[in-house]
Amino acid sequence: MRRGNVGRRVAVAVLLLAVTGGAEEALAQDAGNPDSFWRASAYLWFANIDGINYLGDSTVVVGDTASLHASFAGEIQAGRGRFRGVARFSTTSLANSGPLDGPGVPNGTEIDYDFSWTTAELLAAWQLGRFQSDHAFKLFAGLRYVHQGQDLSGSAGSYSQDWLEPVAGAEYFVEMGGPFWVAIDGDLGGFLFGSEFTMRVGAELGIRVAGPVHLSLAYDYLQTEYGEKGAAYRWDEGVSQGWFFGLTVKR
Amino acid sequence: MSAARGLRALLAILVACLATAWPAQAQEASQTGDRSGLLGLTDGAFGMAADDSPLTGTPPLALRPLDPSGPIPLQPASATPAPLPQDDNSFCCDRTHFWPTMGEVGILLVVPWFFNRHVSDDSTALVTFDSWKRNVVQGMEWDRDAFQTNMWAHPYHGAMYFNSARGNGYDFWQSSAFSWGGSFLWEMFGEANRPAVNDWMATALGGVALGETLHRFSTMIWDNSATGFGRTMRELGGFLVNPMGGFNRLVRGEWTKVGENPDDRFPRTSAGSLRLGYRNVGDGGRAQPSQGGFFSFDYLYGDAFTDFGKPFDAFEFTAQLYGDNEKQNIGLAHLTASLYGTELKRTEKADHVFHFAQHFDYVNIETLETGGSSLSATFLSRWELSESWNLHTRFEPSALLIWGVNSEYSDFTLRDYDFGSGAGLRAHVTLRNASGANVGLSYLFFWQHTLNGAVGDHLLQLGGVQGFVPVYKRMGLGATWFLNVRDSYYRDYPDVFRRNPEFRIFAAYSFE
Repeated sequence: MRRGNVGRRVAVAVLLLAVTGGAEEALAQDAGNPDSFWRASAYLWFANIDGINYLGDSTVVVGDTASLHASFAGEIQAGRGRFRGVARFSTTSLANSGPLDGPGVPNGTEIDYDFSWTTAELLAAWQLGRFQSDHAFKLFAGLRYVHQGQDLSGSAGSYSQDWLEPVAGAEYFVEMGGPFWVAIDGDLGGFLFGSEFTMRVGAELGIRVAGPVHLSLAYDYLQTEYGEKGAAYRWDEGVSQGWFFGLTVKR
Repeated sequence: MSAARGLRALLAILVACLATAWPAQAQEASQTGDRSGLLGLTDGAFGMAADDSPLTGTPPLALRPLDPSGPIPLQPASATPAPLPQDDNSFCCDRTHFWPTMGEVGILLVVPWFFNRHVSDDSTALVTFDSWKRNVVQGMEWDRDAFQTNMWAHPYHGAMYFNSARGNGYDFWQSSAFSWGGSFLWEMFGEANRPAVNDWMATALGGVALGETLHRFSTMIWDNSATGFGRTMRELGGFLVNPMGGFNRLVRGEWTKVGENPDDRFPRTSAGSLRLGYRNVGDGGRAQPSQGGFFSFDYLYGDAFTDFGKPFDAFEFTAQLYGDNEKQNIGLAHLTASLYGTELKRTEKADHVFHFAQHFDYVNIETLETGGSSLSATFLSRWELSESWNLHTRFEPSALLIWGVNSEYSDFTLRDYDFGSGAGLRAHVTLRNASGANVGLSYLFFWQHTLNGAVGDHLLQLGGVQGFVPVYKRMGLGATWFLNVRDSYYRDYPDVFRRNPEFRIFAAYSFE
């Protein structure tokens, strides 16, 4: 089968699913459900990373101005009534070259690196307001585990850092009419327990394509400040962000 | 990042309107019961919630009859109830209108771009496919715009997105999505420079807050049953306050259509005040203290102790104008609005309620730049001490979502302030007399961790006392004294400590 045919058939299938889904309401699964609820989402994440990585006396500037990097993220929610448990996972990496600075390093030196950033979150969410409406406003809090790895080329070595930090935030979900829905969320974290501080904001536009199956497009921005001045490992002005293409099944 | 540059003229008109054209009175409102603000209206340099307002929770005010000689022609002379037409007397909207909304959002994206590109010759408007691709790939950063642009003009632009949807039948929450979406599209594709995460957040969050406020104000101004010159003036007034709502009424032919008003046109209770006075800001280490006049518009919409229905069924808004003694005419604006509210406990002598509230704060004066969007858990209580005296308390732990504080060392960002997030606490105690007299204490604390700028932490504190006494009918006199404290702890620079006492005296005119 030629690639063009495949692409065309996928496009037609998605269009048909969208049209089919458009005939129904999105259902208020997220918008307040007094009964049991679960949701599982898998995301293909086209990510970018920026930041300054302090490794002892040396610094590596991490970033890529030319391309996004295919990565993966996922989320599972389950709960009943106003309470919900949420588990999130995301991982991305960036292999590139960037400026290296440090004692004895000539100006203009660049080094190849492979920087990886993985997060896993366990959150408890609580919904405000009434059930069975077209929207839901949730507050959540929990813990975020972070692993960062930095592999430098040659004899410069490999480094890694793990930490656990608190996180608290809010999310609202709203049905836009027909099969469309929108979710906005953000959180603050760290507070010197783990990282110095984190701030995240994201938005997701979803469409119910058939039954419990939804597709979505999202954007997410997470900034992290890790490590005090002079610490052996620091991640300064560190940002992971990018576009998420999601497949969600929910009840 | 200068999303609202093309809208500044409109913004100026709006502000003038806010200050002078307040609005249709709650003639349809049932004015019953004691009432209290979520926040208490504001004074003090970063002015969060000094409970000095003559209107805040003053029982007799809410019970007073309307004064037809008020400063605003609230009920046009020609407002004799008009006969309803036989058909087509319905007003928008029985359903949502997606494509008109998207069209208006498109206009709000294209018009500022066109203005920047072809009128002001702004290089940021030179968008190309390459700039779009770069923005998509590189993602967001923090921008360098002035405090006024980022923290005032952008939220106003966000309000336009919001009210495009609100005026096409979408509810509060749905309209919020358009504010987020419109802002995102502008950041990604409306400018050649990289999108700014601070713009996205400030435009969306502030846009929701200002948008719903302006929607509520314009709804009070518009009177579907009015005719003639008065009707025209109301339509124009509402248009100035809420341009997108007014635009929608215009294109739907509702400027001349006569029919019934929506049931929720007015809140059950409302109150406002206009204050004119003198302020003196002491030297806290800055170049020169300032003194001069100020004008304040304060409005209390709904009753936070009883109105729990929908978002913004109870909110407070204040805006203050300063003279040449300050760097900006609009030096201060605050909004606190209930998103959700519920009773905690009611007894014969005490009421306790909880609100999850959204705040919009903007302070741009010589001694301090600060503000942004925040959310708070708001606990309100009032105790009836006697027939004449009540005690009101308010306690609000807050999360600062997007926030800015002026900084001595952020020149390298081409700004004079740092961006960040953090937490806050607002606490107030006010003793109130049935005559309208009140005296209160306030304490506010904000911690901002800098995410972009001179890395460090800003600690802001405001503490003070305020008092007000009614003098004659709707007139009264008041005074406030506050101490504004900013302690900035920088990682790479010497710490900075500022102390600015501020004293005010004022005369107030109250209205419902």
